[in-house]
Amino acid sequence: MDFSESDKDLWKQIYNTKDLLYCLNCSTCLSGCPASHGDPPLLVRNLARMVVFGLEDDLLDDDTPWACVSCSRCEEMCPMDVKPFEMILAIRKWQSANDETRVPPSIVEIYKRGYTQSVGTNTKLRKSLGLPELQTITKMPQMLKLYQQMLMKTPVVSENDYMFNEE
Amino acid sequence: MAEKKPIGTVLVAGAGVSGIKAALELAEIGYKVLLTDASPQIGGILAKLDNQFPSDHCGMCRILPMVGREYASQYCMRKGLYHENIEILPFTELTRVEGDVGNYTIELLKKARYIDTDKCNGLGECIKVCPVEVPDEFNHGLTQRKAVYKPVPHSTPQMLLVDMDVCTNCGECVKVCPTNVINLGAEDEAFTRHVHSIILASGVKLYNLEEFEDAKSWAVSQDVISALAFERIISGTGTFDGQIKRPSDGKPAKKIAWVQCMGSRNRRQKRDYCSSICCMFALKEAMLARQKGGDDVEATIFYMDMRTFGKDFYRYYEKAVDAGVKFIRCRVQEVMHNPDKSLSMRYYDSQKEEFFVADYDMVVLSTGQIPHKTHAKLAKLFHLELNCQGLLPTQIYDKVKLVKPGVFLCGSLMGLTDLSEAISSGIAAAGQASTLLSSLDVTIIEEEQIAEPTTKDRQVPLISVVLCKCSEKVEKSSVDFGALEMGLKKFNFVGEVNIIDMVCSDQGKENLLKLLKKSQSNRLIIGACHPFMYRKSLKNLAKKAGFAASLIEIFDLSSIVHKGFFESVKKDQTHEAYSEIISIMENLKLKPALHVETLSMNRTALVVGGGIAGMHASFALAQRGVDVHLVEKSDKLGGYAGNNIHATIDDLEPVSMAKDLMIKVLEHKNIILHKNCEVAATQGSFGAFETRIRDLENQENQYLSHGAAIIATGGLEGKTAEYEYGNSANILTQAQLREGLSTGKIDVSDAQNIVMIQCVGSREKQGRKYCSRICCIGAIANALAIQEKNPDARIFILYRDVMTYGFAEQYYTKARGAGIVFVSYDLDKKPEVELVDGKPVIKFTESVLNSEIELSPDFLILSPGVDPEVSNREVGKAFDLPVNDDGFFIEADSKWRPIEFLRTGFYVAGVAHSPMTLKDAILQAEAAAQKVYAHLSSRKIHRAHVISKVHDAICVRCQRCVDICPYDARSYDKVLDSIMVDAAACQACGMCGVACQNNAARIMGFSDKQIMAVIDAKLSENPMFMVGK
Repeated sequence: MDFSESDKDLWKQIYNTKDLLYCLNCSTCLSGCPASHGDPPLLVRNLARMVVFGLEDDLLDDDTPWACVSCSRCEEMCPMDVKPFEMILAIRKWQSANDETRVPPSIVEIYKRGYTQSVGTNTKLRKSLGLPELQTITKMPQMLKLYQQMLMKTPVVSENDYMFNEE
Repeated sequence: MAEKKPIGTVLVAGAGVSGIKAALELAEIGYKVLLTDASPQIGGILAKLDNQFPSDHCGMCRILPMVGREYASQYCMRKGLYHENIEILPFTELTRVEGDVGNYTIELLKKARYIDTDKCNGLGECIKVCPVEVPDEFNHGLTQRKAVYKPVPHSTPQMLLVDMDVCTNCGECVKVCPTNVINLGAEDEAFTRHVHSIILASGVKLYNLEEFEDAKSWAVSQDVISALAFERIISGTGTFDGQIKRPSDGKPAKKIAWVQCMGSRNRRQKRDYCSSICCMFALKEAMLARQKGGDDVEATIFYMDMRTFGKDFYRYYEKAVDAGVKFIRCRVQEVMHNPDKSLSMRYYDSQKEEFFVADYDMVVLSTGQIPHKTHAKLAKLFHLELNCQGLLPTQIYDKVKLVKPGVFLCGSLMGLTDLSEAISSGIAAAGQASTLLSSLDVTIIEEEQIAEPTTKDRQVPLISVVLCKCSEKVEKSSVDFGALEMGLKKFNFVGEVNIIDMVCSDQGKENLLKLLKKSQSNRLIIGACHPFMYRKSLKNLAKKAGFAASLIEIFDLSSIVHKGFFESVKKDQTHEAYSEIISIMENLKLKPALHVETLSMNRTALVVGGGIAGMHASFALAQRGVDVHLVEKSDKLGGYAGNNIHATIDDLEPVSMAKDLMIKVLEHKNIILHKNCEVAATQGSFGAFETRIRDLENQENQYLSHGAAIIATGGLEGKTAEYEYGNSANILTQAQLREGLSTGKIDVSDAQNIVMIQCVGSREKQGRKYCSRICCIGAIANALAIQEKNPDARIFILYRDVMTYGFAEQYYTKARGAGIVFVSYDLDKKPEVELVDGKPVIKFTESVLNSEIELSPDFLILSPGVDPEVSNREVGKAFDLPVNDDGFFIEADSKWRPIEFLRTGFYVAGVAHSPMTLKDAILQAEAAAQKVYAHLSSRKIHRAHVISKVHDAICVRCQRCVDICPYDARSYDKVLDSIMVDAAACQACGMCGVACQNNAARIMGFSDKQIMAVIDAKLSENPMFMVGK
């Protein structure tokens, strides 16, 4: 990591509230985050650190903020009132504003399999609790096709259709 | 005749450990103390704890007076407290305060217990019949109690009460009560008193799962418990007889996790402070779990910073690491309840960059201290505003002085304190109160002076037996006093047997005195209730009648009598009482008369070290009329802080404060200053020491006589050669930076990057094995000072654990909010520094992103910790006081006797004890001065009757007894070639007697012959001489 390139005041551009600075990296936001089960995982704590450090390039390239499912648990539990969920939204906005060509990979995922999050890890737990197996759209090719056609009508998908081709 | 002066009276509101300590200190001087507590019992939180760090034992009794112990209360403190000068008022609240310094009228409200505890026998027939069941607060809801209950199951005497909130008024308890003491219609009682001073000690509350909304998400199972509930589980008197089982199904708990910072370090919930005690609490519990549950118990602690900031805390942490306690640095969001009842928690491992899910049988929440709600109430009573931390406002340098003069506070009311600080603050608050009282026109309770009667132990033993039948309680008992009298009279060594009544009353005492004065006997047995309460007054009475104190035995007749109340145990209690009396008589017949001496006290104190602590202690003593010799090694007063630290983060100004103190010390007629002098050697024992000091300039010796001494040698900033220190002008210590910033010699206005490294040479096996406590706060203060001068500078603080305990947490929060970046590093991966063109380049691993960072900071600032004063070892040698491996003095007991040495008459204050803040040093100095004053004030100090002695002719000088003595009372005198016993220090515990292989160490009044006689008497059937019955 090179600090000579980093912008100390980047946080003011992204998420201009001092709340963020109070983060003490306790990991509360990580440990119960549903999107942290994803691959790559969403690591809210690390994003907060990157914003504080001003690691502009790394942050622009990072797709994990788009994996957030907006459950707000980090917001509820953060002991330092950093408001991590607000920060995630702010990072998304900042990324979009700074890169017009940006297509969040989560949209590609939604297009390909119908949902963003990996559900694999939950299968075992559901079974142990006696819950039925999840019925996902992936298992219904007809429905998935209809769903993809529907998505193709939105500008963000149709204008970037090269990203959504099967090949 | 002049009007009699009133007796100095102090209200101590709050009977937790600090309040009790304050009360004992004042009572020992001879002041009258009213000790109240809002709860139905005394003892506070500590009544629940079986074990304290670091000894993992109890030890609360160690706060009792050690000198003159036979004249003070000696009893298990967790069971109860008895002192003739302390009036204990549980379940009593302070409701109004009027008046001003030195003269207060207070209004107290005594809540109804519905049971007359003076007459209740405490056996609890009422509890058996009570139909109401509610969760028991004492065991944190792990067990149930009735509406009529014992608030502390092990207290003596039992103090029952009825919880009217849940009582159904069915009246069953009233029907079964054998002593007729239950009155369900009783009312609260308000009364007023006059006191000269007030000490507030209402303590602390712990965050709990029931009360706080946000904690409820953790309560997913009965097996998620608070730290105090775990303490009740692991207690021998607890819910599972000390076995570690989970509450939900009673199965053994093998995998246990502790979750730290529950309810503290939380800015969102406006609890931006560290509870200070939980890290050590969790460490202790984890260690106990492994000790008691076996090696297959897996103990894991989830933490943010392990705050092992106090003396020997870090060593205990290392011990826990070695013992296999696991540490995971992650604040966990939630606990999940699995179908098999186990509990799982998910955490992130930053180094492995991986998530893990772990299952536990039990999860213990380290529920922290929170400022007690009584703060607001007290503030209102005294017409004060709470400070920004929600605490009562105190004077700037004195944590125990409320801004309102004449009112003092101690314990966790001052902030969030641990046990040792609670004790020292209790002593310090008592010290402030006694300073005030000594300036008022009040007197102390004079000890009754009774001349020791002529000994009659050479005469043929003739025993007088007095049995109190206590007609109020005994009517229904199966003990037949008539038969007892007949039986005992048959012995020819029994002079007379008297059955009397209500010996606890004034009339009863008068009757007893008349009886005894007529007696021709030379030894005496008294059977009464609660001997621990009445022993002293009954002994004094018997002495007046001519009995030697050591030839009087007082035994607990009431317990035997009480057992005779019920059908279920209606065996022959008469015979049990008879058998007990016979065995006591067998002992008494053989007892020698023991003599006591009054210790002659030299009313001069010696203070070693002229730093802030030493000067404060000297002045505190001088103010109360004690003469002080203040010995300082250097040519100037002030010590390290008083000469080097101009300002601290909490707006203290040590240098200017020291200057003011210096003037007071120099001008006071009671203080003699010895500058440029060091202590060389000392002779004598408590009350009469003679210490040789040497003038360093002319090498001349001077001999000082003193009764007690305070060691306040202080410390200084540590030295280091690590991280290229000394090889670059850009690498400084925190002290150099602070100095440079204040003089302007160091210019940070152009600096872009500044890196600070914490724990330099500290908390590691090759360096200082302790945390210096003040460096984290010091670094934050300097970082904020830099930022004020240069807001664009980027400041990194590389730390291992941020030790901002208590309300210092707010400085940490403030610093982060100001943009200062904190980066943690591990001991096995320290930052690396090299010099490029004379400037430091630092490489370290950023712990959150787990990536390498290389920086060329403008300044590299090191926090090399606090070193002890180099001469500590010599001072220790001169006074025969122990110094630990680190070079700090070792106190008698880290929790219960934090400012005393084992060697009686010696006290420690300030950094000589361990690294500490200025306010803590002042607190300790005040406490040490109080301890010395208590001994040197006008009360007479007697040594005990029962002490150990040396049979010199058969002693082989092996010194085993010297090594084993836990009170440091035995020593080997080279000149006399003899083992010496310090009569004031000996507590007659008997360890020397066990260690001595020649039977040369003897406890007076406990000869083998006596013990054998008692055993024989107990084992024989003692058939009773029954006449006509």
